[in-house]
Formats: sequence, structure tokens, C-alpha cells
Amino acid sequence: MLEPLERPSGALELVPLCRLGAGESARLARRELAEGEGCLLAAMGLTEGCRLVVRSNGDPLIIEVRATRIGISRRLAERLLVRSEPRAAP
Amino acid sequence: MTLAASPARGRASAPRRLLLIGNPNSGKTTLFNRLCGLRAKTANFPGTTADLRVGRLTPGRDGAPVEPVEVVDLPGLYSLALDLPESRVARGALEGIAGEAPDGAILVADATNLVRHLRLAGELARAGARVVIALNMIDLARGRGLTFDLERLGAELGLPVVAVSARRGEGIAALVAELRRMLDGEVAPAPGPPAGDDETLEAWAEAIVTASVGGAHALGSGADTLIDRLDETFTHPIAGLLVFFGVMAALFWSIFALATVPMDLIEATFAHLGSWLETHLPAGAVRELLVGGLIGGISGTVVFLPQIALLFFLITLLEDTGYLARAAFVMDRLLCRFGLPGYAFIPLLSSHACAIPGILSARLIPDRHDRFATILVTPFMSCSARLPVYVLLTGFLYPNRPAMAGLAFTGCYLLGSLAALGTALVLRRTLLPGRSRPMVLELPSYKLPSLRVALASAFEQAWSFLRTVGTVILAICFVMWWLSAYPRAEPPAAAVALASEAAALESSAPERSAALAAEAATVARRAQQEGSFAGRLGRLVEPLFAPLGYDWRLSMGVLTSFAAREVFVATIAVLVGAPDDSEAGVLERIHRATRDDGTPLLTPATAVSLLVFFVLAMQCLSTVVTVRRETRQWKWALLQLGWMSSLAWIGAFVAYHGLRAAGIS
Repeated sequence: MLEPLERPSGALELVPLCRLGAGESARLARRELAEGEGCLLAAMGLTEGCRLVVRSNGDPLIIEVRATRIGISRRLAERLLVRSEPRAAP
Repeated sequence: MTLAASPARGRASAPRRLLLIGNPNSGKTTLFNRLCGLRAKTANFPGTTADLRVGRLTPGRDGAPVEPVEVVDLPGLYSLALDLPESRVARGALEGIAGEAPDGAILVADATNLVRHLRLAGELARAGARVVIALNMIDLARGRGLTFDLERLGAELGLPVVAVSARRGEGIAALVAELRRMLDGEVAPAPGPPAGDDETLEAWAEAIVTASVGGAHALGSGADTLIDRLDETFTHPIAGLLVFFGVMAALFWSIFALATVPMDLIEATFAHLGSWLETHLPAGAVRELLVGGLIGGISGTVVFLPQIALLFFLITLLEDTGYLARAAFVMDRLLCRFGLPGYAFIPLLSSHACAIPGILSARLIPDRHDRFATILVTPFMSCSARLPVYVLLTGFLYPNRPAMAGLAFTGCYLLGSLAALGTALVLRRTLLPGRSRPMVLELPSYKLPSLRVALASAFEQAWSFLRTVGTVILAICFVMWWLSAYPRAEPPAAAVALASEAAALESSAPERSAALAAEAATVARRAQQEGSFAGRLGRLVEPLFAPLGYDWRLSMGVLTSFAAREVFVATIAVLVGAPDDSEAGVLERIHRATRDDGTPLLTPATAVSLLVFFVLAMQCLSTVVTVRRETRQWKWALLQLGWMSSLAWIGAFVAYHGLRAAGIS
């Protein structure tokens, strides 16, 4: 498993998407993907900076980006780095 | 761009053409069926590599004569800009099909998820296309508390927007009216979003939705614990697998259980037709051709129509519920161990109906090595064309024991799947090295499936099957009958002697006389077949198949079914000859047939050997051609043909000799 990456600027740390629990939300910060892997994600709405909510943390990891539910195999979720957002008050 | 050129240009003969475009899961196919009815055809346009569904816009209900308008259903796509086959097809179709620019496009947008769907509208506007937006699933969206200011939405987009529910048939008339306005040149291309990258497009779509859609979840659906729980169960490592096997077992059980009655009806109808012709036509070549050649051959194939229609009907229903996308993730964990991507699940599942749609759906697999590995193993899945052979042989192995026959059937499906996985494993270590790409898949909303869409799919496949029967199989039956009926041979002396004995006993012992006459006919028919062209050809190829336990008739069956497997039963039915007992079904006659030396045509060992052969062999020319087209190289198609044929021969050889060594002949 990857350790959280410390940002020298002191900004919020980046964590792999698969570290988030169900119900947690985050913004996609970086995609460490091979060439050609990212375009399908972008077309489904997973662009850098987009807000996502984890619905279930298994394999696949199920996230929601706007109204779209997307299943992402765990192998890939490990390479999507996100900035976790604080849980909204109920 | 071309679309904007001249909307009302006169095309004397060709119909006006509209493109139907939308994201996957936007309800595009349902809308297509609403607009065009069930009579769609599949066409391969020059300049595009895809088979596209084409329909005619159903004329207005007021009965006014309207010019023909063709609707082309493009494959579902997320973006025009992607380097994926469906995006290339859509870009090509927008440029023009066969040199003709389309007259406009219908964008199907899911009202419950508008931001993502409007991105595509932005891309179409950037391409200068004339577009009408069908805001689909409006009923679902309103049910979720969303409100739409359609006028504002249309004004922001600069495009006509019509709210529809394709599922319920709401708003279709208004949509058709708007399409007519577009065809009359009254819809101008939209200004579209400002130039920029993905983020610009996203921001543009989001601003429009914020301005024109109201409700708590306008930009997202919010939490839904029921869907979360269903998703978790269906993709769970153990529960998901159990549900998957349960669903598949129910699917295959339904196909066999529900198809029995129509299959029996079809067989009985053909048997009656045969015996009616037998009694009403004068003896001679015409009667022989009709009864033995055409009816025998065709009934051996048409009898499987109910199963094929049911398979497509049920798979389409299942796909429509949204479950299959979840099942793909269950299979992903299994398939990736063999070097296949989870995406391969849909091609492999469709291949149970026919390998060709399976291979075509492999286009959705983004990685080339993943895609090729999937294409190369797909034909191992037991397609519906193999069903006739499986039914014939398992029925022979376990007569009146449906449970055992069902098990043997399942064994055939398993053997095919194992061969596919084994082949994938070998391929990923040799010719297509590497691990399969991890999967990303949209999980569509769960919904009640549409009977209309499922019926359309079943109807389309059944019709295409009947066309094959009416052309290729009819022609092969005719040729096989001719080959087995000519050159004409005089009845041998033994037959003549039996016949005259029968004539002498006709009044004193009618039962004995009838038995002798039947024996005389059998001896004469056997002599005729032995001397016929088919007999000589069969004997020529017999040495190749003799090690597998096949006589010349079975060898001939394997040979003629090289082009299409479903021909096997038809060929054997024709070669077994005109029935002594016309009322017997064709399958029963084959089970009772004998070889030239009087031993049974089928024994348990030959039946198993034939089963193994048909599970593993390619035996389908259309698949070979499709693989060549999809991989763009003969190398892969021929490699697959050679590999599958060798595996089939070796497998059948091992099965035959293994069983004989175990004392089962």
C-alpha cells in the first residue's frame, strides 16, 4: 500500500482513492495512469478536480461522480490520488 | 462542417438520414425502437467498420404521406474525442456515410444525469452539427424531485429540447415534430461551448444545468442506501459469485424449459407436412427432394428457433435491469487470473447466442492485447448453432433421462469455457504478453427491464437465423440431397429378391410382406447412398475422421458443417435418408440410423467424440471472416482456426479412445 504523500507546500495530503471509506468524499487530484487509460475516465466525468463520493470500498470500488455510479477495479483505484474532503454535517 | 452544409438539399432516391447518438445507458435503443418500430435492419456502411442498426421513422399517425427518413443508431459513446472504436464510428458518421452528410442528429440525454450527457451536446455543437435533444427518462428524473425549465434549457443550449420517456412512449410525437422541423432546415447549429479542454466543457455543461434544472440533486443523485446495498451484494467476492451462478442457472434453465413446447410443435408440424407430401405426391425425384432433402434438413435446423429467440430475449432483459454491469466486476476477478479483462465478460456472454455479436462487442475493450485475447477465445463459448448438435447427441446418450442430458449439456458449456480460459492463459504468455487492464465501468441505474426492447432483440436475431435457414442451409440441403441421390443406381439383386418375395406374400401374410418390403427399401437405399457422389466424397474424407470413430456419413456431416455448425444435423438428416416412418421426428430417426455394415450410426463413444469435437472446433466461416475484419489481419483468424481445429481433433480422439479403453464403445 502507498503511504500518504506529504505535500511540501503544506496543502492537504494526497491519498490513493482506495483509502477512502464508504460515504467519504474527495476531489480527484492526480491520475497516475498509463497512456490511454485516462481518457475513458475523463469521458465518464472523472476529470481532475471533480468531486466524488465513495459508495462502497471493495473490489470494485464504487464511486459516484455527480449522478453517475462508476465501478473501478481496485488495481486502478490505487493509482488515482485524491484530496479528501471533510464529511458534510448531516 | 458537413452537417451544417445544406439541410434541405434534394436527394432524389436516397432517404433523408438522421443519426441517433448518446451515452451508453441513455436509453438510446429504447428510443430507437419507439421511433422506428421493430423492423430495424443491421447495415455495414462503406467507410465505417461497424455494423449499425438502421430503421425508418414511422410515418405520422394522421396518415399524411411523409417522405422516408432513415434513423441510424450509432454505438453508445462517452465522447467524440476519444481514441475508441465507437468514437471513431461516430466521427465518421457525422462527416458523412457513403459520401452523404446526415441531415441532423438526435442526442439522447439522460435527464437524471444531465451534466455528463450535455458534454456530448457541447461536442456536437463544436462539430457544427444540427441537433435535437431528446431529454429521456423524464419520468424517472421528475420522480427524483428534479424540475426542468425546458425553455431556458433550450435557450442556453441554442437547441430544441423535447422531454420524452422512451420507456413509456411519452413525448415521442413532439420529438418527431421537432425532427421534421430540423429536416425542413428550421434548426440551426448551436453556438456551443467556448473553445477549451475537458474542464471548459464540464464547466459549460454544469452552468447550463444549474441555470435550468431545479431540485436538491440537480448535480448528483445523493445517497441511496438500497442501491448501495444491492451494489455491494452483487459485486461481493462470495455473495456476488453465488448470485451470478444463480442467475446464469436460471437463465439456461428457462431457455430449455420454456423452449420445449414450441420445439415439439415445430417438429410435429414438419413431420406432418412430410407425411402429407409423402401420401399426396407421386413417387419420384421431386417427392424425394421435398421430403428427404428439404423438409428433413430444414426441420433439423428451424426446430432451434425458439431457443435462440429466448436466449436473446432473456439476455436483453437481464442487461436492461442493470445487473450485467455488476456481474462484469464479479467476473473481472476471475478472468484477470487468466489474462482476460473484466470487459471480456459481455463478449463471452453474448457468444452463448452467437460468437459474431460477441466478437463485435469486444470493440468496447480499450487495450489492444486485451481485445485480441478476448476475440481469439470468444468462439470457444457454446453458441446457439452448437445447440442442435448438443441436443441431438445428449438426447442420444441419455434418452428419457433429462437430468443427465442436462448435466452432459452443462459439461459441454464448461469444456468450452475451460478451453477459452486455457487458451487465454497461453496467449498472454506468448503472442499477446502482459496483464489485463483494470476495469472501469459505469454502473447504470437499476430498473425494470423493457419487454419491448427484449422482444425487438429476440425478433431481430430470430429473423436473422431464419434468413440463414432460408438461404445457406436451404442451398446446402438441396446440394446434399442431390449429391446423395445421384448418380442413380439400380436396386441390387438382394433388394429385388426381397421385393418380389414381399409381393408374393402380400395377400397371404400382409405383415411379413410389409416387413420384407421395408427391408428391400433399406437395402436399396443403402446401395444408392454408397454409390452416390456424397458416398464417394464421404469415403474420401473418412480416413481423416475414422480415428475419431466417424463413418462416411458423420465425416460428411463434419465436412459440410465446416462453414456453419447448424448444418450438421441437417446433413445427417438428409444422409440418413427418406424416413421409413414419416411420423417419427428427425432427431429420433438419426438416433436409430445404421451404418453401411448395419451397426448403429451413433454409439456412446462416437457421440461423446462428436460432442467434444463440436465444443472445440471453429466450424463457422462467418466467425473466421469477422475475426479477420476485427483484427485486420488474416494471421489471427487463421491461427485461431488452426488452433481450434487441432484442439477439437485431439480432444475428440482422446475422448473416443479413452471411452473405448474404459469398456464403453
